[in-house]
Amino acid sequence: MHITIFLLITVTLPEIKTKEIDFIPVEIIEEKEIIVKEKEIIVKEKEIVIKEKKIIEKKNIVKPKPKPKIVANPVPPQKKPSKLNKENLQITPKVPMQKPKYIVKKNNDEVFDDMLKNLAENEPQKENKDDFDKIVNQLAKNEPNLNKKTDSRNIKKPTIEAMRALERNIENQIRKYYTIPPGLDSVLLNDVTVPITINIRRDGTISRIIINKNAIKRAQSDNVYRSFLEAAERAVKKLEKFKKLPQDLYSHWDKISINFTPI
Amino acid sequence: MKYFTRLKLNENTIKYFIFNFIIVFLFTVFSSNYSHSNEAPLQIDIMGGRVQAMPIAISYFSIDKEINNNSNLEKKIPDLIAKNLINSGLFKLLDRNAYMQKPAQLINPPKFRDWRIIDAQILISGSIKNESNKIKVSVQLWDIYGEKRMLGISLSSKIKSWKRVSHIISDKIYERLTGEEGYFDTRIVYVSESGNQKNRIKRLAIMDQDGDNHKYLTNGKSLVLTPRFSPTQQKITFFSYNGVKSGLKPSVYIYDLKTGNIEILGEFEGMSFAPRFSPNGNNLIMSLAKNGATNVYIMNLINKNLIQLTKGRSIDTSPSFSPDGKYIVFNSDRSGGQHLYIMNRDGKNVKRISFGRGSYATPVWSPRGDYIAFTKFTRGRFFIGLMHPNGDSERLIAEGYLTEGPTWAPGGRVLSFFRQTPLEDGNMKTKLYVIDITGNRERELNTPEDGSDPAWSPKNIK
Repeated sequence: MHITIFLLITVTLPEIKTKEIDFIPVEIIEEKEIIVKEKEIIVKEKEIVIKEKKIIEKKNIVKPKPKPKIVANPVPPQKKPSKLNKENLQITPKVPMQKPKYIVKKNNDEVFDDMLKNLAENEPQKENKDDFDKIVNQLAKNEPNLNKKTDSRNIKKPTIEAMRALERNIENQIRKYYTIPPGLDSVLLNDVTVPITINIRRDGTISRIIINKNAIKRAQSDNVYRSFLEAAERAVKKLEKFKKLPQDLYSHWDKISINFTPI
Repeated sequence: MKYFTRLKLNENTIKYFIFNFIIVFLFTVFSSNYSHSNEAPLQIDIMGGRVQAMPIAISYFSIDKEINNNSNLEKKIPDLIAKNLINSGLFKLLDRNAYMQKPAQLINPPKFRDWRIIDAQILISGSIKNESNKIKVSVQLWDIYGEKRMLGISLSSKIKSWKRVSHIISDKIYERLTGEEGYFDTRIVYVSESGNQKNRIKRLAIMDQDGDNHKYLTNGKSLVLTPRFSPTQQKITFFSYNGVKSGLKPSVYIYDLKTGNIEILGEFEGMSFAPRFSPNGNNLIMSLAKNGATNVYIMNLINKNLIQLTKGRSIDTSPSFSPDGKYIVFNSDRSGGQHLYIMNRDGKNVKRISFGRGSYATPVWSPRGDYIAFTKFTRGRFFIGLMHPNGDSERLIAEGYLTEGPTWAPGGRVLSFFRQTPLEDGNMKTKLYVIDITGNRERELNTPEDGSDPAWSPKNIK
């Protein structure tokens, strides 16, 4: 038994470590810049020849900033999420299940077709939002009510409706600032999801933006993906502060993981 | 202990195992508690975002006093960069009157907060310095919300090359912001048309992609059609009736932009037409009509060796190489209707890829290899369409009374084509257009006269 536990721990330890380093702060993004020096252009009567004397590819490492930028008024220092969770466990016990995640994900080809102009088609465009609402409502009807199973102690648990409203609220606030990057390749790529995790203060101010390490790695070698990553990061930075998030559910939105998928 | 002693383990080994067990046990308990106290963060999925032009600020540049003030380069260069980027349809220039920082202040990093006020996402600033009869143009690209420099580039040239410098800088900015290859430092060769419909004069003409630096290459005495750029050299191949009066058949010619020389590709038994270079520029594919059949041929431009690729009595024409040079797409009426086919470069393994209603023609493989653009005639209208090389995902992106001749810009995300529109006086208006693969950003290209049959040059072949 002990040997089994020991082996289990030994195997899972590196996994936990990988998960920890999977998230690194945005401030240490490594950026490559190409500086073209002395690019001389000689113009002749009938031809133009470019002489490139020297092309230096320079790695420009942006030094980590000591603190993320905070524009709004400073707020008292927050406790670490783990401690807050412990406290909140006593006051508002968490929902004894995994947080609901309602995604109405379209087939890639379907979304692709929606985005593109096709003169051969005359069908009206689909109303994504209405579809979404319909499906969400349908899900709400079908979802078993957890409160039925809970005792009187769990009255203050956030209901599924409350959580759903919170998610919609957050999503709408971010979406307002999320513009699809100007590149055209978005219509071609299958997997362009940019995962970003943000820490939020109780007043709604975004205190930290964390971009998945793999996303940063990919952006370094994939210029199109880099534009998606920058667009997602820009959306969060433009938002700067969430408004009207329910304070009693703070333990649920103090840290949010967002997947930006442009199409 | 006795048990361990029976196993012949010494005391130290036993202590070691016990110690390890305690450590592992404590860790198990601790990590288990820890994981319970840290719930996974709330997961939000943002599927799809707003599609809109990116708001950018392009400040006028600061300029050395030694440079001739009349040149106005500090305005002309940023203006041309702005024109290029806006024409792409992906960017929106913010009103310069709203800028809170002056060009001279932008020698240093900008005050990002000032630019956020006017909702600029990107700022382009620059300076022009005098450098022994040359100008050194330095440009910086700033991410206003990320508060970082995205690009720094410096180019030196003679003053009269300022347009080329602007195009190169535009390409760099476009590439940095979109991740895609720029196409501003390119040219377009096309057939310039003038005169009434009965006596139409058609001349070869060349211009920058924005319509600037326009020049005629032929005098219009002979009809010219289907000009195509060499991908590696400053050469253009085209079909012409040149020499018909002196007994020559209409044929394929090659125009050398360096020397201005025009030479006939060769004296063939039949009529040669629809030429196009191979990706390495060493071969040329074309159609040759003889004995009532039209087939695709490939010619080695070095040893002039000619090989027939397709056979039969059908009309096989408009061949175009894949960017890797391994395949050729062409149109043929071998199945009855006019459709698109793909074959290996040696003519083997012919496969039909179009199966829709109507006739398909003038297929062109994109520089990236992911799309084939074509002309389609169906329901009495002409269309420009796209499909993948396997025939999937056919889409029509432009239409018109006569819409034809797609050509790809470098990068394979933007195309040009021409459209003929009937006028009230009975004449036709024929103009060049540019559109991107989404079909959402169409614009007319300015030409001095009517224009048809455009061919986009590769990058940096000037």
